[in-house]
Amino acid sequence: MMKTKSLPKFTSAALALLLALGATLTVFAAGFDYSKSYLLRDEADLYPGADYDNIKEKLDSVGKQTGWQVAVVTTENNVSSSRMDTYYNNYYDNNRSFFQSDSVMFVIDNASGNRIIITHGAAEQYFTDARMSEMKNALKPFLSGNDMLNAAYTFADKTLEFYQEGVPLNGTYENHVEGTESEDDRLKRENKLLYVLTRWGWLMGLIGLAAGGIFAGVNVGRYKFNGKSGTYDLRENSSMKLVDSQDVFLHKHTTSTTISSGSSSGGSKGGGSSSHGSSGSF
Amino acid sequence: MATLEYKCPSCGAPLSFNPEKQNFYCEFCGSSFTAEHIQSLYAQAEQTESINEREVKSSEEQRDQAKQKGEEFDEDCMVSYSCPSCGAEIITAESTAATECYFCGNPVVLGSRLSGEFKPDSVIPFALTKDMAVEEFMKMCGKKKFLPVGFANKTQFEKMQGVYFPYWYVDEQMQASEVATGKKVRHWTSGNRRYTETSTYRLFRTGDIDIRNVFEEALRDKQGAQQKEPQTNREANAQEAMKYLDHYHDKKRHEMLQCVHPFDVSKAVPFSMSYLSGFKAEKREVGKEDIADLIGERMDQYARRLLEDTMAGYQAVSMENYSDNTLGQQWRYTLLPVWITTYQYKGQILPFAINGQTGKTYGKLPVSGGKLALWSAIVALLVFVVAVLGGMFFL
Repeated sequence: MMKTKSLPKFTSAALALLLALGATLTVFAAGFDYSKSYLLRDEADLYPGADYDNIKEKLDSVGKQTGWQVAVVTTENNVSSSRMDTYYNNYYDNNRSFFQSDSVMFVIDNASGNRIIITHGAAEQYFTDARMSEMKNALKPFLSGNDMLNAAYTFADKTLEFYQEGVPLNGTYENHVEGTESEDDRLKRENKLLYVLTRWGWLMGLIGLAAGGIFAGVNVGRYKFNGKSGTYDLRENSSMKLVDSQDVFLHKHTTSTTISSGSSSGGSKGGGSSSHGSSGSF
Repeated sequence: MATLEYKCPSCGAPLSFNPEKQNFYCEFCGSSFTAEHIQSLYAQAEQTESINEREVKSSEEQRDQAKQKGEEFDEDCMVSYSCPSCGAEIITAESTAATECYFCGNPVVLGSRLSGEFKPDSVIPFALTKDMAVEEFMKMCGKKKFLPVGFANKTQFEKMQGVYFPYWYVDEQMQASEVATGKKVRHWTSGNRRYTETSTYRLFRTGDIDIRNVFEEALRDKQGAQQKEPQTNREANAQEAMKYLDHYHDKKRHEMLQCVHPFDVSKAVPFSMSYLSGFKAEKREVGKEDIADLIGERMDQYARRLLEDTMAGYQAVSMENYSDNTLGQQWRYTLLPVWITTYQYKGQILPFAINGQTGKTYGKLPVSGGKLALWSAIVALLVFVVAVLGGMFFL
């Protein structure tokens, strides 16, 4: 009986899980590959057939040499040039399970025709303003000719070149956007348990100690004062017949106060993003 | 002699009052007798004991002699008698009115202690046997997890004793009047102004009041026995008697007895010495005149509370004048049943008491520090973990 009853539930749960997994796999299967050294997502379908595998191989090779994740992302999101930096930085933040902390990402928004290069972590130091310009100049001929395959190759080659040249001594980083995210926020996002323990552990410890202390105190009290004092119950042991009851009004006075109408409003909404460098839309 | 021993009319064995059956039961031949039956059999003897003051005087002379011999223990608190069964000397505290012989264990009622003005008006007979009292105590211990190992053990309480403690119960009928001022406060808002109106009234109340069963203990605090090696049998017996005092004749006795209240005084019966057989009993040491003022103050306080309860609806009631006229007052000297025992833990003597009528328990229980520390640490850890998990969700 048990098996008969539970079987439909189990089957439906399994089907639901398979459907969910299937849906996920369908999305990911369409031009999406990643590892620690590369990420290639071709939503705009710019790299059909063998091109996709060749670029993937190239990105993987460069990623392994640099130690960064070298990513190429094509989309059809139609993001305006002024929003490219914010939009794709959020895109990076929201997909941290695929993106690595140290990464270089070349984004091609095929719908709007805007492109951007975004760096994170260790890669940021290598991509000075001058090198960003150099990268843009190197990519322009291919982008203007709609040769996205060579644009991707060039992006990978230049990335490796910058890595091999090392961090420039007097480079400027005006293209870098310092996120508003504090160390606390970062830790909170990356490891909530560690954040709670390191930042609030003392308070939790105090709460725990107080609870333990209260527990001990209450029990000692219960043992020490076992048995409530027997008090005289006046209600049960008395009766009264009221023979005279008069309430005589003497006087009254009234006071008033003005209600202040001052009001305040406020509130703030905060958010944060990680530090990153970007090329600006081009 | 000023002692009275109740014996089974069938076999002559010592007879005690059985709280469970509310009659007299002979443990030797199994015969049962109603309280009325025993009282009628011993009416003459009780009457004789009640008016026999000679033995008390003789005992006082013995005490004087012992003092002259230089015996150091507190002789002011002891009197000696002869056991009617075995003839051994029974040394008791001066206030003890019923006990048992230390040699033959037979219950003895010291009738002369309850004579004349010291004769109680009523007694609430024990309703709990010793076994039932121990059971109540074990029930109380069963709920406590931090008692030392071995504490909640029936053998610990073998020495539990049933004691009748003397109390005064007072009823009073009076007419009381109180004049007070009271205020009524009303708030309202109009526009941007908030108004507060305070009306003051003079309140007159007069009531015919009947207050019943106001109680006060009728035993004084005493010094216990000095702990020294007894040199004679008499000293040893005296020390044994004083140990009994040590157990509950201390400053905390009042609190202990207060905490096993209330008693259902409607179940009190007219006093008869027979109820004391098989138990210890203390005679009263506090007279009406000693506590009349205290009881008077309490009556006034209760009467005022009753009158002020009729002034509901007023805020900040303050009394201007109070007067009362006592119409009648009845005092009842009543013996209340309490099971008592002590437990020695880490050098401390902890007293326990159980209401012999209702089973209400009182006692400062020992706490096992190790167990409590362990559980407190577990609680602290659990709360810490819950707080951290909560923090992960809400921070």
